[in-house]
Amino acid sequence: MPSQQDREARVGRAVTWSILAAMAVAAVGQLEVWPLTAFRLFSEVRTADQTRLELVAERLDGTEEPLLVAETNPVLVTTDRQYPDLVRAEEDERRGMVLAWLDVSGVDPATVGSVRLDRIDRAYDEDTHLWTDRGRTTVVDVDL
Amino acid sequence: MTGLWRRIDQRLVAPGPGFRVAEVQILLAAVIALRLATRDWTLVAERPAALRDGLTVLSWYTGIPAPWALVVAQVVGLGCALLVLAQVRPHLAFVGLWVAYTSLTALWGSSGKVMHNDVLTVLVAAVFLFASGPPRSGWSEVRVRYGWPPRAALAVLALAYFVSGAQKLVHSGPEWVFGDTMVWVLRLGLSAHLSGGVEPVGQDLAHVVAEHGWMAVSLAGGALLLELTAPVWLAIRRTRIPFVAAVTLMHGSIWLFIGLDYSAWPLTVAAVAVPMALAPDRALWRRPAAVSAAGAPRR
Repeated sequence: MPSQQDREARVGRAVTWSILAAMAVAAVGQLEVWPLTAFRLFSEVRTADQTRLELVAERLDGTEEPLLVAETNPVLVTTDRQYPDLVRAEEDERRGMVLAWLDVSGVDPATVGSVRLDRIDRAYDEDTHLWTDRGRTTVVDVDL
Repeated sequence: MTGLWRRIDQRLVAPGPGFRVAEVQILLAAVIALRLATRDWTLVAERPAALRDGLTVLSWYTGIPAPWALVVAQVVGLGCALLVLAQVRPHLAFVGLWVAYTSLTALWGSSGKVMHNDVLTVLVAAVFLFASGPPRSGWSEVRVRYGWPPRAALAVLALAYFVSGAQKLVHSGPEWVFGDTMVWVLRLGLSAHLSGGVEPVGQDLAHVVAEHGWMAVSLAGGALLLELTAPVWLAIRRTRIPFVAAVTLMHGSIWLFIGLDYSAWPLTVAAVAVPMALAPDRALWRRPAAVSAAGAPRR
């Protein structure tokens, strides 16, 4: 007949090892099922070779405007991590994402003919401590 | 090896005083309440459904929450936190608090980037979903059910920090310390505020560190060493307070140099490690009748 303390110990073991095992599986499997995470914080090597992605609205009047995705909203700012998804997305999904980015950037879609995603090579100036754009390549162009 | 595991297991499920589990639960509730109270959660409602991304516990919900619903979750969470602090139905209130906090942070972080700011708090607090605190009359009672939850929380902390360090070695190797990685982390972080990040307070100091390779290597080496040795620091009672100080310094320097707010991490570490740094018979803020956790008879 197990005592009350033995039963409590069994619960403690089950909870503790289950949580630790789940964390270990996420870490080893590089899984991101939040809040289970692989805890990859700054884990990649960084070098001087840096690129960034930028969405550019091409207006019907021939002008261009880089989209500044709601810079004051921290929930929206990180959506720029989804720019690479545009390359793989189906046409409808791609259009939906671009319209959403135009919306949160305060740009009227009716004035825009297309939105392109540019990859920009950057270089760091050690004197000015600033990054400067060296050249850009269009990765994908989405007609509206 | 079997002996080592047996010793770890015996330490994990050794009896502990009721006040300790209550203290850690209360401190974690205070940390979560602070996180809930200091953010405008209605910003989540401004994100179009097309830009929601990432796999979370809340991915089953695909809608856009109304601002009022987000405020309700925040208020319910804060109400639950008050109940935990007052130790009124603390277990049920803690579950409510955890659900509100985890839901809001899961929604907040579903924007393409894996957000780690709150993940440690969520995981450590998850232990207390299965832990019951003592009744008011049992504050100084010593039982297994009060012993394992704070130790499980320490184990979660230790594993999280260890994995963070191990991933750096797995993905970058020693170059993470001895190469220029920290230099470029600083330089990229310093420019992040220009594209929406928070402007770092210690920009000038960060430039100095980035310009002096040995400083950047020392910073990277210290951080990696701290993360990899976290299980040792947390296993020994006397090194738990120094660990709190060390992680506060590490996360504080990240905020100072590149503006990233990881304050929930040292606060969570403190919530668990400070009470667990005390002698087993010494309460953090209420001195009960003398108890001997180590030698207490099992009941």
